[in-house]
Amino acid sequence: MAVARRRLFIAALAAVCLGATACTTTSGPGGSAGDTVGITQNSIKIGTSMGLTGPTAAEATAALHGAQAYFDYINDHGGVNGRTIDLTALDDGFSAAQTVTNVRRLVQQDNVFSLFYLWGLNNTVAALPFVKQSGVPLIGPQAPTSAVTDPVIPNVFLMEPTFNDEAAVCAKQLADSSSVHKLGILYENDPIGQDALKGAQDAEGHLSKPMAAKVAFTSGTPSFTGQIVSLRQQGVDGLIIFGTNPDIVNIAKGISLEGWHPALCGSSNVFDPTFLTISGKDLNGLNGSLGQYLPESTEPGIVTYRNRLKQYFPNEKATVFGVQAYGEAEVLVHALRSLGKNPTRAGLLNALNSLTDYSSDTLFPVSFTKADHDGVSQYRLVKVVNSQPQFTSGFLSNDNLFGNG
Amino acid sequence: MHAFVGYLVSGLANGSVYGLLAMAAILVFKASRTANFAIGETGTFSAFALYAAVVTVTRLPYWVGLLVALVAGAAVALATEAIITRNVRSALLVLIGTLGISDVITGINTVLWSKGEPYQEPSFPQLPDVSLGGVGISGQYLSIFAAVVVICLLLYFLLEHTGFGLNVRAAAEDRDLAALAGVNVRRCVMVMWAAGGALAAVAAVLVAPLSALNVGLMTPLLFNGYAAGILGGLDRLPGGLVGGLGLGVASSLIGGYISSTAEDAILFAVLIVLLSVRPNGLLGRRVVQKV
Repeated sequence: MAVARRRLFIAALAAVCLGATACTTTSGPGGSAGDTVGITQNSIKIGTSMGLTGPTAAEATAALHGAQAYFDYINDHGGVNGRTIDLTALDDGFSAAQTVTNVRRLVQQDNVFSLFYLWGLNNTVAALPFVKQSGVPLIGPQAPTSAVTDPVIPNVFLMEPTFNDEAAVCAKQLADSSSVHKLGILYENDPIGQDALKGAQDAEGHLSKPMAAKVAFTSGTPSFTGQIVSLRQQGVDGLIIFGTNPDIVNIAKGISLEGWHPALCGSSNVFDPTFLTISGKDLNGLNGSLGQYLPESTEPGIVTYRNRLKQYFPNEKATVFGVQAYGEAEVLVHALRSLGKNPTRAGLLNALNSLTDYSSDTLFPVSFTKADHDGVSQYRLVKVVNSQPQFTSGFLSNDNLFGNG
Repeated sequence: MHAFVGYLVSGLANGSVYGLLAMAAILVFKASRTANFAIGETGTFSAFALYAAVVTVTRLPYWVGLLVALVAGAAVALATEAIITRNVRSALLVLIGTLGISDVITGINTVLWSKGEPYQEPSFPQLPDVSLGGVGISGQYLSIFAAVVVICLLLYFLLEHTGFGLNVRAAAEDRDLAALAGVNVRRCVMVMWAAGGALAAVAAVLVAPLSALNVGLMTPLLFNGYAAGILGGLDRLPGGLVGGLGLGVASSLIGGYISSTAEDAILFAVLIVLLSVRPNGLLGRRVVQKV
């Protein structure tokens, strides 16, 4: 009986504690009590969770170093209105459950002012309910999915085209090609692929050619011959591929082996120089779109990025993920600067919501409104030539690619 | 017909890899009546060892690099066995312990290799590409298929027709009785774990050249490897081959003709029904115990 009473007491105590925790984390966007949490006289504390170990460690580390190179540069030049940017990066090993734990820790124990980046689509989506509830700003998650932007989450700001958008652009790009008569999509059977599939399906009404086949695949499968033969047999000659990079490389090899030559279009992650190098000639001709400059381009902003990367992380390579994170760090610093000497979370959200065509060194112009938190709405079409990505168009948006519909 | 051949080719290629992992699982199960869930990461470690030997560190000939990979796989599996099974008695705890070892190996792979990944693994000397019913079949797939059949036959011969195999089977049946009969049970167990690690190495060095060598290479395949072992029967080595090929082909046909989105769901629903009818797997023997 005594044991039962003690358990009841502990349960009641736990409930009270949980309630208290919930109360401290439900101030909502622009909430007041915690509005300056993480701001000290000399620093602004921000936090991120990334897969710094595990299957995507190389890409995540490159992204972290990209962002950190920019923050280090800012800190070495007086910081933001006299405060340094203090970035805490926790490793989640690319485990979504650990991302949630890390994000809770950053907000509830480390008391960060803002969350920055977050690595991985599934990881970010898993953390979204807590982020949303906490009201703490999340700037630039590496999660290009419409789950982050539609409907708008007031405290979450994305700075890259979603897979949904990229797939729609792919569908339009291929359908407009005179050599393509039937489209098909081969997509990974997970949220990345599902988002891409939805984008391609949404675009169907704007296409002059039919979408003849939609085939899913499981990531990591050694052979894709069945899917490839099936798509070819259905007369597909314009193929959209969305998945992780190793799978895309394997699929491209399989297509080449079949002696099949469909027009190809894929997700932007594959335009990373490392993957294009190991894929050999199999990815030559692959189309796609990007919302950022290419890591090896001679654009002045990219040259600046590479120089700062070399200065602070001399052994790190320039990658699409580094370019992305560097540009997002720049946007965050710009917004923080605009807040003057007394930054608040509410002020940061307002500053971002009124950001219009901000040109960073590495990203295409970034704009947010209260009704649209997908910040990069412009992109350029890309094609792989001799294992190198090259822009094939000027700046485009969905309005001028699809019309206003 | 053209599409059917395509699905069959995919299924056999994928199934061969599942089969190799299934046989690795079966060897460990026969020796210790438990599972080594670190075999996937052991394979990945071995594929990196081959890469180091052939490309980055020593630039050895491929066959020597392959030997390095096999030794690496066997050594990691032996280390796993030594760390876990000698300290833990319960089969369930051994199984959980191997999950922990799997994480440790991932960590080691990450520290050693994640910096410059992905890598292009040197390719297993492959058979020429061929065409069957108008479908191009990669020589790499043929090499994988040939490797799995040859390995299965060799291991089957070793376990069923040699004195060592008899010892292993005796040890698997009843350790104490086998030890009383003079069988070196400890050595049998170690050899079986080492062979399992070497098989995982073979699977990894065959798969890596198909896409890109990276730290997560074998993670998605481990589950299907074990499913194949259970489907075929964990106490019969040919069960691994039959289970692997069966799982691969069934998966490919379901994806092609029923639903590629619901492929795994349908496949594993069928698998559960099948196992409820044949709980010891397709080739598994019924175990009758005197009570």
